[in-house]
Amino acid sequence: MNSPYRPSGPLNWLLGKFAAMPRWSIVGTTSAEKRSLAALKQLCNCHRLANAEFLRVEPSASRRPNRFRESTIRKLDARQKNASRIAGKSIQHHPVDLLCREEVLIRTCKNCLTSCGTNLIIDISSMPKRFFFPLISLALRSGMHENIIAVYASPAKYGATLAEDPLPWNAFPMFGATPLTGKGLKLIIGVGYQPLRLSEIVNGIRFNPENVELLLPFPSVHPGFVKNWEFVRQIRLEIKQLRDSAIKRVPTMNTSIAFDRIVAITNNGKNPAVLAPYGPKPVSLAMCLYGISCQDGSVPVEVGYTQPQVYSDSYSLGSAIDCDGNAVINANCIRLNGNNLYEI
Amino acid sequence: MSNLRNPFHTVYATEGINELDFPAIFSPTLIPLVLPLFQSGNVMLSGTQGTGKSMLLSLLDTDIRLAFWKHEKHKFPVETTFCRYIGAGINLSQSLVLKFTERDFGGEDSVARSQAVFSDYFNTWVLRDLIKTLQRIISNAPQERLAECGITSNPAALDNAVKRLGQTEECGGMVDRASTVTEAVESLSRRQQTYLDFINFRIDTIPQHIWDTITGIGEPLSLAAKVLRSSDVLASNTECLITIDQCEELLRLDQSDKSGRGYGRFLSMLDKLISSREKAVSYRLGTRPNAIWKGKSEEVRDYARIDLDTLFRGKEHLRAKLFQGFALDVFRRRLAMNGQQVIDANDELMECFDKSPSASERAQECAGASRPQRILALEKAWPGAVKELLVDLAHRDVLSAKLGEAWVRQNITTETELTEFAPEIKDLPWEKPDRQWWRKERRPIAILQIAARSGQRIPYYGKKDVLSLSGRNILVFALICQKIWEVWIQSVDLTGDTEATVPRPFSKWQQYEGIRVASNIWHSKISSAPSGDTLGRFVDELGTRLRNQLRGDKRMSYPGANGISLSNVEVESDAEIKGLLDDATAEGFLQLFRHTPKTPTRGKSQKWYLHPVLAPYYELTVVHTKEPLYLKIADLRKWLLKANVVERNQSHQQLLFDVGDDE
Repeated sequence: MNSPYRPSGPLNWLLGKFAAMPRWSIVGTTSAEKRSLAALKQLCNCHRLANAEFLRVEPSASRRPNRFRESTIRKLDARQKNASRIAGKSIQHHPVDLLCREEVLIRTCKNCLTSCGTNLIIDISSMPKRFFFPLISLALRSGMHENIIAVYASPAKYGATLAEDPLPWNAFPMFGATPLTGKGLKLIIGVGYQPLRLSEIVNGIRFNPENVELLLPFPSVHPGFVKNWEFVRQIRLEIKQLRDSAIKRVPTMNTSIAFDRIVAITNNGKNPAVLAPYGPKPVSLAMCLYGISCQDGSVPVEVGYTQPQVYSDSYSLGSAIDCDGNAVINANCIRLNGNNLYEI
Repeated sequence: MSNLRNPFHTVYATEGINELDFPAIFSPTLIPLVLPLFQSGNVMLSGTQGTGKSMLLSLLDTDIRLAFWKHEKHKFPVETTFCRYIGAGINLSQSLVLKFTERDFGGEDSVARSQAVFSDYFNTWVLRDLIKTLQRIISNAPQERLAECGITSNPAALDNAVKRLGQTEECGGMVDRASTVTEAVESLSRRQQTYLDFINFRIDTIPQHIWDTITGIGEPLSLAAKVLRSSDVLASNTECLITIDQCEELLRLDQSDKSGRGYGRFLSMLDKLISSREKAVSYRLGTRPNAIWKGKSEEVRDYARIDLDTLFRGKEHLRAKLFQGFALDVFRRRLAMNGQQVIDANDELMECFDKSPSASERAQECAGASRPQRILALEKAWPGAVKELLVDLAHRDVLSAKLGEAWVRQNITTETELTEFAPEIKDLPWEKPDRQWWRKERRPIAILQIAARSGQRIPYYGKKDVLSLSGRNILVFALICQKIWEVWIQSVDLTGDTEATVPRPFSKWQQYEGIRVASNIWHSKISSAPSGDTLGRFVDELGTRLRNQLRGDKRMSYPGANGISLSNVEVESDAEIKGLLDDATAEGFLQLFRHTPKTPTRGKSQKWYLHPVLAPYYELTVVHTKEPLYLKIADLRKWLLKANVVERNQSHQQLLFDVGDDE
């Protein structure tokens, strides 16, 4: 398998390689998490911000009860003010309900992208997967953006409670596929912290235990690895015949290697697959890019999730800081000079 | 085959078990009670999770039928007279048909257009499945079986039928004037893909050629059934049975929808389908317990309802017998599949689990041997003679001593009275024959309080306990068996030369430990239910409150307080709490019964109990005895507000202010 070189690394470093492209648009999220503004701040500090389009993902009005609603809204207000302080008039806020109809979600994402220029950064740090999957798909399909970088800021630590009340399994907007059956059908699960009703799909008759593969983030830091292995244990409770070899270790932050792993598992896209991105965002990003690549090649792939209806206001705390005092922001170039770097 | 294989390794019969193994483990016990499933006419099949709904519906699946026909030992469990059908279907979740609620169809007729698209996608999916199923059964089933079912064995007849279908005005556009089965399946797949592109935002509008050939719900299916019969693919009395899977999910979404997605518009299309006078095709819909089917269709006239919960909830002795027979059959089949000898005349459940302890034995096990008097909570003010008598009795019979303590509390209210009654107490009045019901009703709560005071858990073991904790739910029964087996397997000494043999019976502690683990697992399943975290807090709050009530009721005045009763009118007035109760019941965490309250002014009521398997987890009593805890919905809401289960909302605050407002 010959993969192209896919530039990735700290955001500052990667932007340094794009010296010829001075201005970048950024699509991000105003969230209760501090890290949601880390990339925007770094972009502003190096004076390379063209414009910022920020989704303000509101706790769903249709979901009651939500014990984090009021505190989340307070934090969102404070974060929005902070974002405006950082980016001044260059920032636009796009309020949207977490569980809005897909039609609304796609329209909002398109609105964000319409205002963006040739060089685009998509900050997925605090963006719910329900939003960033279609956003990346739309960005790659629009043809307006020559260079696209997806960035992910690490938090200082995660909260005790992450999310609650997951909905039943459903394909992400733009990522549904059917009919998905057959003996070769693969189920690839990104191992995360909370299995969130994943048993529903694992229990489905569609999957042969030999065709279930887990992408285990490695190395994972304490206490994350404990949660990861607890996640694996939960899957094992559902699939007793799960092979040890089904656990495939993938680097936590390396989207490129995770993507190649998925391509290998599906025999270069020959096997239809269902992807369940419960793991770290860089691995989920690989699943997203694989899904888009398959759609372009008419390979049946469904990427879905059991979307939580409630997120904790303390999903993560703080931003991880490197030895130079900068926020740790991992950047992956996914399109370079008009060429998609993640294709099968 | 190794004895260390757990016969209950996979608890779900329909999931995770190879279809080739399905004939061996399928229990036909319920079939005589659900025969309408295999006959003409629409059927709504409802049941709590784990009652065997999917297992029964899977008999309509052609692959399962083929597996039975290939099986040497187990024949298809439905009588030949009821086998004249061909099954096809749609899973509303997996087919993504519900995703049409996510798209905007624009304009004033948006709802009508979305219903039209839903209907045509439904038709496309089912017709494709029906044709593919027929193709598969014709090429794989033995001729004599096909003859029994009234299905042709000639593939050319199916091609001919498809060709005739392609020439009709109703279906011609759908199958693109196909002249062979392959062409028809390809055309239907293309149509399906176009819809999928729309669902996935790859196209913004449905192409005109689809609008031009759009079909009304069920219409092409009825036509197809007629054409298949007139082309001799199906005999005139062979039914087309279409299963609509995950209908309960659509009902749940509709009932809990606050987002304006309008799932009800699709339910009304399904209602139209089953209320249609056209009877060429029959539909099978799985629904949840308590689901109210709103629409024009009427039970009896348009559909038959089979409620699996009601089947098991008939008269007490019949109900117990039915479930016991079902459980025994499932148990035997699992053992046999695991290579163990099963003799029809034997009661394997009794052999493997033995007798459950009597109330006195159970109480004694809870109390332990040392200092049995610690199970008593004697008041300082009581006369020494009374205290001595109860302590002395505790050394001989802890259960009687605990009941005696409650009797004293109930009958004697003042110190003077107690002194006067002291001699009478020596005769143990609570043990007199005329007090047998008083004793019987209070034994479970007495054992619970003995266990609590001894810092012990109530031990459960034996056939009777296994069955009563299963709560008429075959999935729970299988889970309990699985865990008991697991505990035994973990205890086997693998270093010896002799092969381990399955104990008959399993030891008390193996059963006790297995049941405890099963209880914990059933509790952990709450988080996997719809809105599982909130539901978990709700069930936890109920469980904790009831445990505290039972433990704190020293007089044992409310021995039936392991459940709650609410009046129907009050439940209907609080949609949020009703939703929680319905969800917890549908998922098998609560059990619902009709209740005739002592006070008629409460009106018609219902009572809810935690599922018996949760009794070890929450440390509750299992038996439903005497009256449950009478609650007002406002009191329940107060409990739930404190536990973050519900939010204080404006309408309820408004209600508070409205009360007593003369203006």
